[in-house]
Amino acid sequence: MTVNNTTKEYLEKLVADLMKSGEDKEELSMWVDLYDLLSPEERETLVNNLEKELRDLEKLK
Amino acid sequence: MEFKPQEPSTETQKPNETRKEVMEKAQDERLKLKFDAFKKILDSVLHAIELTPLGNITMGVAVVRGKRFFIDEKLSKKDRIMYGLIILHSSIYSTLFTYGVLKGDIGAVVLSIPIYGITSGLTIAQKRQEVKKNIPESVKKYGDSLNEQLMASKKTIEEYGYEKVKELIEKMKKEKKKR
Repeated sequence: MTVNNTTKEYLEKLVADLMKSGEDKEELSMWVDLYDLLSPEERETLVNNLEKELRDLEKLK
Repeated sequence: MEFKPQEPSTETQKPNETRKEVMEKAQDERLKLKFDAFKKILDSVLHAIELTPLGNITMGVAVVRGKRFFIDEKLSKKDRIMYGLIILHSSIYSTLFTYGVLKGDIGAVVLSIPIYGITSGLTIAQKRQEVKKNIPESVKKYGDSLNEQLMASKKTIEEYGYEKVKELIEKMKKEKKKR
């Protein structure tokens, strides 16, 4: 089940998980930096995108 | 015995390639989001820069930070050179004219050059004065409507640091090229 959470803490957790999966650290860190500039809709889009990527990567393990 | 590194098996290679594809696809999907975020930063910084009639980025940042305007009372190096050349030219002309070397049309042409120089110099000096007087008015002119933008710029620059903002602008330009 997808947790619809757009808090910064959740984003940081997602980013950390994706980094462990080998995603680009620089690109992911940038999203944490940019978090405050994003609108609620953009945050949701971002979180959904990251969650999907994480799910897809975990399937490939 | 010669050491031969083991070739990765086809089974290992395939998932790695697929993982790479998954990451690239996700990053591509984030591209628009990234571009919009960078654009927000760029817009707020550009608003700060627009506030300065001289287009001086440092001054723009000073405005954003609520600092007082600072314009050097002294002439810039370029102006000093220009004024120096005008004075030198005028002195040579006066000397040559006094001793009768320059006469008639040639004298008028040679005279017109320093006059043109002096006029240009005075115009530049006048513009500088106008700009100097008008800066606070320019800021007032924008009034409250710009406060929001100013606050956004101030917040952005304070939060990310000016260097980081510049860096982000550069990244945005690169992303824009990719699109």
